[in-house]
Amino acid sequence: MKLINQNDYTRDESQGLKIIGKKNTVIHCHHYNSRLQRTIEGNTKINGKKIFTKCAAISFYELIENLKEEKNCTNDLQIITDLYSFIGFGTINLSFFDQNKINCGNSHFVEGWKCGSIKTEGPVCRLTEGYLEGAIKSVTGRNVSIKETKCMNQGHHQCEFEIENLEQPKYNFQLEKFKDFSFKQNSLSPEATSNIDKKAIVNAVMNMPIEGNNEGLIPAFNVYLAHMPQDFYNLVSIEFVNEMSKIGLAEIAQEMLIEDAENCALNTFGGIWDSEEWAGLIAPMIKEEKDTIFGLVAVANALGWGKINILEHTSFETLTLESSNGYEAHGYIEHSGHSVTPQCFMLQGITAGLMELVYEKGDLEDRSGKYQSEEITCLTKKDKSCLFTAKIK
Amino acid sequence: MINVYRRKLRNCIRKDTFRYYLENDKDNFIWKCIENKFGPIVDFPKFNLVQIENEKFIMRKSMNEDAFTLIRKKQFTPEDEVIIHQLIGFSE
Ligand SMILES: [Zn+2]
Ligand SMILES: [Zn+2]
Repeated sequence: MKLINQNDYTRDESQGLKIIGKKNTVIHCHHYNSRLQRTIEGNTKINGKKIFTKCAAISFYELIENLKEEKNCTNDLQIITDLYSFIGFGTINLSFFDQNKINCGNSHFVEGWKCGSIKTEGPVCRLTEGYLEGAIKSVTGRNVSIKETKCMNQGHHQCEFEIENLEQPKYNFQLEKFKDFSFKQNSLSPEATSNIDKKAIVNAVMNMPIEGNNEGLIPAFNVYLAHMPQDFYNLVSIEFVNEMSKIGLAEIAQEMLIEDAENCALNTFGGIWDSEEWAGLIAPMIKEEKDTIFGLVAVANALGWGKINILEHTSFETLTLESSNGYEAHGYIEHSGHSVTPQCFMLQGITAGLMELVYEKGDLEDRSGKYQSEEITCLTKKDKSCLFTAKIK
Repeated sequence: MINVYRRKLRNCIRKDTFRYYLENDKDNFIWKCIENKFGPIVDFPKFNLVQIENEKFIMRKSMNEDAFTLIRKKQFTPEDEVIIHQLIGFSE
């Protein structure tokens, strides 16, 4: 019997949150995840690989600690394999754990890198390395470092990892600890009118029993989805910008994160729009051109991204989104306090990307940059909500 | 005669994900053949969606359209593709 199942999720449809082990989980697809990894690791002047692995180790260590407590389970290695597959990252085989070897036959990230327009030659499973470091620490107490020695991205039939025992913990797991999940829940301005039944969409998508299949993957809405603890995305983003700012590239780092999200909108929401799920649930609600954006944003409200309303939308021209509890703002405030500049790069990029997806024509790669997005107000600046606009350039 | 054609999906799960269009299949004849061979069907009523899944692939179909998406898994082989194409009467 699996240690993790659908009953472990607490779903808050009104606030757009999906919580497991006291942590809100954020759904993104394999295109976005691998692209984000590429961004973090792309600048050779900072150690992006280390950032990605460390943030995974810390986030999953905490999540597994919470799950063990909630489920009152002993230090059973099974939680490592079951959680990983359940949230959609692939499959982990611990049969050779005693020999300090682990292998994985399926990988969300490898699928993402294979689909992406830019390839890499080497191993790519940094998230799995970090996941295993955090999970093994939590379950066995062992201090380990995990290194991927062979990867399916290189054409091998499985990814292989070696465990190295350490004298001391690799990371300061406690120091980096995020608080368990709690959002301030300000109310939003009312949504502009459309023909979309947002409640029905959020209810259907949020309650879909999505979990890893026999491959530990979640093929849904024409993409591979995965549930990530929001702490991971927040830590990665904050550490990346911090490291880049040390070499004078903070603004470029922020722009790169915005651009990744813009592409996420094109790929993830492009996949959603072209899916059987869309055809069955949302397409029948579309009565006029502008409804498509309302349908896509309704889906976004079911992805653990928090509650998002469309305040204004003019087809082909403008889009204004408001978010009262986005995971980026929450994570930033908790980690770094308040800010003088907005910090929600993901939602800013999404706002432009949605317009480019729905109203631009041609290859998806060529549409990026056609709309200008801005975060006008932000919770991190002590504003009441985060407000995003996109307008055609 | 039922006309079958396919389209590669631009935002793919994998790069070899296709949607098969079953033109004139008003009575869902082909889908019933698929069900007989690969069933059982799992129903997702909120999405008006049906699906058949096994170790090798997923076939997913909105009840609003005469089309389905074939999502391959790692174990899917070229021989499996031939069998499916024969069953639905598809050729390039
Ligand atoms: Zn790998
Ligand atoms: Zn913000």
